[in-house]
Amino acid sequence: MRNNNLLYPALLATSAYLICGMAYGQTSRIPDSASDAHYDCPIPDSGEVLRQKALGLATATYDRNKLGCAADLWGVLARQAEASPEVQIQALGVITRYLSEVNTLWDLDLYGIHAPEWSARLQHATPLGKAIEARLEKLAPDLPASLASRALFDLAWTAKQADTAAALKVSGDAVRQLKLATSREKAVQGGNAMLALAKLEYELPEFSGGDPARGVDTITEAFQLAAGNPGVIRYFAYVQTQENHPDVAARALKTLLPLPTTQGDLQQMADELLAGRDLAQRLQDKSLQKLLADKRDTLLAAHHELLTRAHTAANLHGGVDPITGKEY
Amino acid sequence: MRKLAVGLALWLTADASVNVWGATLTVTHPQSIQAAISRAQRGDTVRVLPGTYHETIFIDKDDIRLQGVVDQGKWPILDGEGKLNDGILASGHGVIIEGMWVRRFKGNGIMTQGSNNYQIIHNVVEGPCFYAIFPQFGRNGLVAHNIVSKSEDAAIYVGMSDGIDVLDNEASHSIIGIETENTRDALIQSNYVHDNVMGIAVTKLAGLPVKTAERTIIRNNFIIANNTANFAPAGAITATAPAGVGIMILGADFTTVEGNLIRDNNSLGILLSETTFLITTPDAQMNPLASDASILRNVFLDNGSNPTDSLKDLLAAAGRSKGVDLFTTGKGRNNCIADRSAIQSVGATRFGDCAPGATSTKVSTARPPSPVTAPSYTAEQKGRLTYMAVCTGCHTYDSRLIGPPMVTVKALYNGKPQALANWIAKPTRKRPDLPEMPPQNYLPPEVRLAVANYILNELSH
Repeated sequence: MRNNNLLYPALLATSAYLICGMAYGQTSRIPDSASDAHYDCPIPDSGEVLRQKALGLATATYDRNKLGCAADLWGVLARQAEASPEVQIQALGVITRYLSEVNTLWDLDLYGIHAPEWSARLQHATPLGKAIEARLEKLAPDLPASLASRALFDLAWTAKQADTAAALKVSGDAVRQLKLATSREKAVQGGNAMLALAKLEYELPEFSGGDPARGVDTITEAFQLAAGNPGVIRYFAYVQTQENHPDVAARALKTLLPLPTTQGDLQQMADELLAGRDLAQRLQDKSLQKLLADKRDTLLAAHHELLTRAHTAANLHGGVDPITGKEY
Repeated sequence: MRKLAVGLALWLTADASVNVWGATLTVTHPQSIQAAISRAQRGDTVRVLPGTYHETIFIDKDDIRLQGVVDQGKWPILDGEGKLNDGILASGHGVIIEGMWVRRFKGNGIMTQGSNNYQIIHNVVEGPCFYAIFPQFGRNGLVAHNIVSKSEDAAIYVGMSDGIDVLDNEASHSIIGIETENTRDALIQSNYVHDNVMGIAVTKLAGLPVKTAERTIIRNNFIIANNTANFAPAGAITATAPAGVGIMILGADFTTVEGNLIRDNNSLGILLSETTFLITTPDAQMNPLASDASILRNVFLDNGSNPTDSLKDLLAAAGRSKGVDLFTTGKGRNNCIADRSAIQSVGATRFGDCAPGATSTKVSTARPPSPVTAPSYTAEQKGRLTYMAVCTGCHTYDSRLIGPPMVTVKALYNGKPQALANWIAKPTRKRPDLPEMPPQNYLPPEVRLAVANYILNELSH
C-alpha cells in the first residue's frame, strides 16, 4: 500500500504498535543478508556537484542503493546548510522516502528472509533524519512544511519499531502535527500531509485516537485539493470502497488514467497503478482493471528499471498461484 | 481375493472420502516405506509396522492409505534426524495418513498440496519443524486425533482450503496451535490447544492467491494457557503473533466462536481485528476487515492477567491495565456478541447483539456430504506445486536462502531439464560454502522432471 513520493503510509504506522517481533539485530533465514545493505556512496567535494548528485539520485526511487546514497548525500547537504529550513525539509523528505521504500520492501518480503538487510538500512538512515528533525524543530517549528515533514519522518522510522508504546506516541503526535500543518496550509507537501492524516484517522482504533468519520472527510478533502496525487486518489478510492460506495471509488480510480508517466516519482506511480488495478478487481470492474493494468504495463515497458513488485516464493509462500500458474 | 478385499473395504468403510481400496502392502523395518508407496497402485494400503524409518515419503497417487500400525505401544516412527526437510508429502487425492509418529524434520511433518478428500488422522508429529501438519490448496479434508507440538509456525496449519474439519487434536508448544489461513468453511472443534504463543488463529492474510477467509466455526475447544514467548525468526510473518492470546480472528469473515473454554491466556481471550493490524503486506485485492463474526457463549476464565508488552501498551491506550476477554479494534462490520454482560471487552461498542438462541450446532461438519471432484494435475501444475512445497523451503529465485538462488540453477542447467531432474535425486556438493542438499529421490522421476521444467522454463521471479 504505497503512498506518495515523499511520505510514508500512515497505515503502516498504525500497525507498528504490534510489530513486536521485528527488533533489530535478530537472526533470519539469510543470516548474512545484512551485508547486502552496503553500497558505495562517494561524497563529492564540490558543493554544487554534491547537490546535483543528491538531486539526481533522489529520483531513483526504484533502486534502494541509489536512494540510500541520496539519503546520505542529503544528510551531508543538510549539515552544510544548518540554517536553511528549506534544505532541512528537502533532506528530510528524501530520507523519509528512502525509509518508506525500505519499509515497503520489508512488507513484500513475506517471510522476512531479508530482515537483516532491511534492519541495517533503517538503522543507518534513521539517525540522519533525527539530526535533521532536531534542527527543524529549532529553526522552523511551526512552519507547515516543517511540521508535516517531521511527522511523516517519525511515522516512517517507527513503522517497524518493536516498541509499541513509542509507536503509539508517535501516531498521536503525528496526528496533532499534521492537523496543525494542514490547518495552516491545506495542500502542504502536495496533499501528502492530508493523506497521512486521513490514514491515521481512518485506520487507528478509536480507543487510540482514530476517527473513521473524520478520516473519510479528510481524504475527501485531500482528493479535491490534490487531484493529481496518485496516492491520494488511490486511498480515496479505497476508503470509498470500504464505505460501500463502489461507483464513487471507480470514478476516482479513473482519474489515475490521465496522469502523466513521464516525470516525477515513477516507481510510486507504478505502485499506485498496481494497487489501483487490484482495487478495480475487488470492485469487479474488469474494464477499469484492464485500463489501469495497461497503463502500468506501458509505464513498465518504457522504464525497465522500475520494480514490478512481483511475488517471489520462499518458505512455502509467495510466487505464482501453483494451480493456475498466474500472478495474483 | 483382491476383488473380495476391495468389496469388503467398501462395505466396511462408511467414510465419504474413501473411494476404492485394493491390496495391502506391508512394510517391515528396515524396508523403505517410499519403495512400497512407489509400488502401490490406486486404492492400496501401505501398512507400516513399528520401527524407526529415516526417509521422506511422497504420495502423488490417488486413494493411497498410509497406515501406521501401533503394536504393544510401539509405533512406526518417521525420523528426519534433523537432516531431512519433510516427513510426508502428498499431492494425490483421497489420501489417508494415519498412525505415524513423525519427528525431527526441518521443514514440515505432514504436508498435502492440492489434495482433495484427504484424511490426516491419529498421528503424532513432533518438532522442531516449520509446520507439523500443513494441508494447503485442498478441498474436503479431515485433520483429527493428532498430537502435534513444537512448530516454528502453526502446529496445524490449513492454508487456502475449503471444507475442512480440524477435530479432537492436541496442539501445543508452537507459535500458533491451530491456524486456518484464507480458508473457507472450516470447523475447528474439540481440540486441546495449550502452551503455544497463541492458541487458535483464523486469518485472512495479504499477498496470497486466495483473497477470502470465511465461515470458520471455532467450537467446544479447550484453549488453555497459551503464553509461550514468541520464538519465531525476526521478520517472519509469525513474529507479529502476540503471546498470551487464546483466539485471534485476523481479517476473517463470518467466524463463529461458541462453547469454548478459554482460560489462563495471559494477554487476551479473543483478539479480533482487521488484517492490517498485524500484517503490513500490501494487497488491494483484499478487504482487510473482520466482519460478521458471532461471539456466542463461551467460558472465559482468568485471561489477561499479565498481557505481553505490545498488547499492554494498547490496553493502556484503552484505559486498561489488564487484558480482557474480547479485544477488538472495532473496524469490522456486523459483528455480534451474545450476552455481552458476561464478558469484558474493549473496542466492541459497535458490536450488535447476536440473535437470541443463535448457535452453530446445526453444522456438524464443514466437509461436503460426498467427495469433491479430484482433478488430475498436469505436469505443469505438479511442477509448480512441488516447487512451492519442496524447493522454496531452501531456495528463492534471486537470493541465497539455504541453497543457491534459482537464477544460478537456471544458468547451470539451461536447456537441460533431465540433467537437473537427475541431479536433484542424487545431489553432490558443488560449493563448500553451502550445506549439502538432501536427495530428492523420493520424488518420482516424472515429478522431478516437472519441477526441473518449471524451474528452467517458467520460473522468472
